[in-house]
Amino acid sequence: MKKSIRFLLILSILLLCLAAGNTAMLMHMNAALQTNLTIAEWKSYTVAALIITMVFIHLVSVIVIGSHLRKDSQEKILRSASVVFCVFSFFLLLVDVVMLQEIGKESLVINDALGEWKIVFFGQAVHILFSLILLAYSLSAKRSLSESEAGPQALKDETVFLTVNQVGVITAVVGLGFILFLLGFQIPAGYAVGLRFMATLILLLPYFLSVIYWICTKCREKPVEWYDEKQYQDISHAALVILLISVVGMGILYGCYSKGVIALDPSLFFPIYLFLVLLSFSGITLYLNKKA
Amino acid sequence: MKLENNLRKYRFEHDEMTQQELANAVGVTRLTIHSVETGKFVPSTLLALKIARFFGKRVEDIFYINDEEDVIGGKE
Repeated sequence: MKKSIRFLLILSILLLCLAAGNTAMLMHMNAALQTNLTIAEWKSYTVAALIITMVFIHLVSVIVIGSHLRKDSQEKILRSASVVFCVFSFFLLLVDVVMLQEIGKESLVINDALGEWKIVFFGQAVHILFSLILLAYSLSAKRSLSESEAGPQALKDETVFLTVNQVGVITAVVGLGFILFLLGFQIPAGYAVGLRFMATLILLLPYFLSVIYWICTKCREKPVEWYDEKQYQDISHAALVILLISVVGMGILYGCYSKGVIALDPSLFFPIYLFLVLLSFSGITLYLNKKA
Repeated sequence: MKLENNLRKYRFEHDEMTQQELANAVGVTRLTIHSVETGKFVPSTLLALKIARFFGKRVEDIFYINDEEDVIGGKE
């Protein structure tokens, strides 16, 4: 555990430097294209090398963080945030590649790639944010490692249960934030639908992976033993609240939409519904569980 | 009417055992023991019996009903 946290610390610092360097290079390239200057080939290769290295770091990071999931620690929220942002940032790295190719093509024909640049710089902000979260997690975990080693090992695990719900809350918040970003900024219509669909799938991935991981840890137990009695009660209460929230909330949203009070793209209903339900369910379960 | 308990007292009499150790002994999570101890969660009959058996006591020695709170709160 100690070695892997130290390794994560190194990775996070490296990623922060690479993301900052990549942003600086991209800003320089954007400025050059706007003033119709040509971009030296080595700069394009440097950006490509930086992106490939960052992809590799993301893959290694998610494996290392995944190996910490069963360990009880005080950094559960930072760890859950690291998982969600790692997957989201990885997805945006792939988006960066597509957008940069489009920018390359469009700059040859028409010098108007503002929408693409907005997506690219949003991606850079997310990469930097992920590296900072990873840095905070590894520093905090390093500090509290000695304390956590002292206590007795839990037989009935609550760490994965809490982690899954924290991942759910963070996934939903990032998902809703990303939908708002797509609505607020003038993203080219051709990319908006695809980005929305892919982002919903990709953002839900960490939640589903953590649920699958949780099921794997429980596969030796009978379903009735998967939760302890308080966890059962918290989940039941959360489910009841979700039933009310989803029926009333989506009813109001649908009413406003059908009366023309709000103009919402119909394809957004499902992602908004998914993220809202996930946010409410995981949030309420966590609140009830922690309230004691 | 509120269910209260002497769980903390018995834990400390039992070699100052931690909530985690008791949770492991009766097969629940530490948070459940913590919520039972603070009166925020009413345990099932099965859990109450398991806890009583672990300490070698009767359930009534560990859990009891506090009627006074209702009189003060005017709910009776």
